[in-house]
Amino acid sequence: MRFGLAAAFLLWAGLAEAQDPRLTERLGPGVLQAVQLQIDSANHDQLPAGPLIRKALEGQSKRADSARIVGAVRALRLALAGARLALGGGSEEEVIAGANAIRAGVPALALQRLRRARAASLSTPIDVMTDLVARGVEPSDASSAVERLVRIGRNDRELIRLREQIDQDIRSGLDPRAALERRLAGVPAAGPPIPP
Amino acid sequence: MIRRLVGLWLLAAIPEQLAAQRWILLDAGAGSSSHQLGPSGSVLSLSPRLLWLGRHGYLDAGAVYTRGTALGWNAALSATAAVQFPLSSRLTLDLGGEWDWTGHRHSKRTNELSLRPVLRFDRGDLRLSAGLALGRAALATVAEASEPLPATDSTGSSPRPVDPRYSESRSFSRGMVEGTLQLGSFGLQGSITHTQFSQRALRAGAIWSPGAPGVDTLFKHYVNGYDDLRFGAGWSNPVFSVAGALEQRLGRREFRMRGWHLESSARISGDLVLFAATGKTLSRLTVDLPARSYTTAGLRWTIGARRPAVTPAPPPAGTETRVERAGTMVRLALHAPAAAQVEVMGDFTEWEPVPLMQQAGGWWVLTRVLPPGIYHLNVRYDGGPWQAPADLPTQADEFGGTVGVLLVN
Repeated sequence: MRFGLAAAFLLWAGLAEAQDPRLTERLGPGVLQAVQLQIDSANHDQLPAGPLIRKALEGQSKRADSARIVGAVRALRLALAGARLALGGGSEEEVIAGANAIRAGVPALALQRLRRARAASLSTPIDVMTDLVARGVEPSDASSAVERLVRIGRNDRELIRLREQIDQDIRSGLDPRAALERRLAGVPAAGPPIPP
Repeated sequence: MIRRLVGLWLLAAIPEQLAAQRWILLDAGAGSSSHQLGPSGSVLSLSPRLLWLGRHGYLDAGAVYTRGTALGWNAALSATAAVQFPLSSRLTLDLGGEWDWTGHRHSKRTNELSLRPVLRFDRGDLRLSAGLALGRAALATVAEASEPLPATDSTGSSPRPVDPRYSESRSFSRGMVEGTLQLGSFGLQGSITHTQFSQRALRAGAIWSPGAPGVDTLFKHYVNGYDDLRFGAGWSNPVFSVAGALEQRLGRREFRMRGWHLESSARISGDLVLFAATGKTLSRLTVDLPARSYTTAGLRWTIGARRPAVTPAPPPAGTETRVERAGTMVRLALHAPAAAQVEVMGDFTEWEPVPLMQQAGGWWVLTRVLPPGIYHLNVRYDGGPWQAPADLPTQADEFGGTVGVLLVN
């Protein structure tokens, strides 16, 4: 009995040591254990754990129930895994950006096509895509527009500029889709062929 | 049983806004126990419970397992489930069932299964319920392992085996009526339970709740020839609670006795509560349980207790958000001239509320070093609900609200 208790305590202490202090300070033990399982899975799959921790903290700050917090963390972990698969690996920033895009409604296939169109970092194009979707542009329209711009070689600065112009158009009362079409009006439709 | 009936009634009286919830509770305790008829000893107890409340029904299942050095183990399993049919705006019919099993290392085992139709009336200040339990009970007595079976009868003349084990099964019915009348902070409660075996129980009491955190109660409890008077009081806040009760049994001299109970608890995290209790119970004559002194301490772990979620709210009139970037510094400015306090929380604050600095012209400002990327954030004005900042694109979060999406480039 004593040996069992001592072993349980050591196991608990070992687990507690491995846990992020932000989580141990703010989450209850029940939800902490469930979130930690998700984080352990992410670490095992070499996915970034930071977004998962922040998602759990967001749920705690919003006083969400345990099931919702764990569900949100799990959904984000799956989005991170999906983004990394679609991007064929990629940097941590790219994977996080991809997960944000997937969570916003962008199809993972769009990320895959974007990767084929550009070998360099895709963080900014993907973030612009997510931003456009959050502004009300349909995810399919936003992803095809960004893909089109990337395929003709537009750089990150130009993508940011386009996003600001669309933002101004929307603020001035234009429909998000109309604003996107207006800013894409002068952009060549055909780009170089996408390699298989 | 009365406690269970009252518990069932309270369960169904939980307001509509708590519908579709579930809790998993786990109490684990250790302490000591002694009673008049047996030796004292240390006791370990474990008590898990699952409670699910849906819009059209509920399930309450639990178990209590106690193991003592002197008395061996005893255990109880129970489950109550019902589907609720609204007959009118104030009348509801519960159709459900209940299952009970109890067992003791050295004593009898009982197994009960019953159907339980209950009719409920709820007018807000007046709640009444009447119900039946129709079922079948099985009773079995097991022999003590340490008690050898006698080889001869008392005369010793004709050897015959005597086996103390026996079992029987019989149908039963119970009826109960309960009610609560609430008059401001003062409430009256009562219940009557009657079984076919001439067992009656009457429970009446008054509850005075002068407002959180105090609660006072006074109950009179009558069961087949004796009265139990109980006076209880408690105090609690979100972290600590203290409660105590005094019980006095009135009636014939052999029935008279006094009991008391003292308990306290401290919440050590969102889901974990440390509790301790001590006291002396009154005997339960109807089930042959003697009076018992006890001291226990343990942990209560609650999984899935729902707390209020963030509700989306429109930004207050006149608010405006500007995001400016200078190098790696990002300046978030919100225009809220009517606000006395503005806070923000987001990915870049580890979702901890951070107050903004007030500036001239009704602007509130926060400056942070932020690497390029997408950030999610919420703001609140004067301690109100968390919401997406005005002018920023928004996205539904997973917690029933919305977040602002901030692109830093």
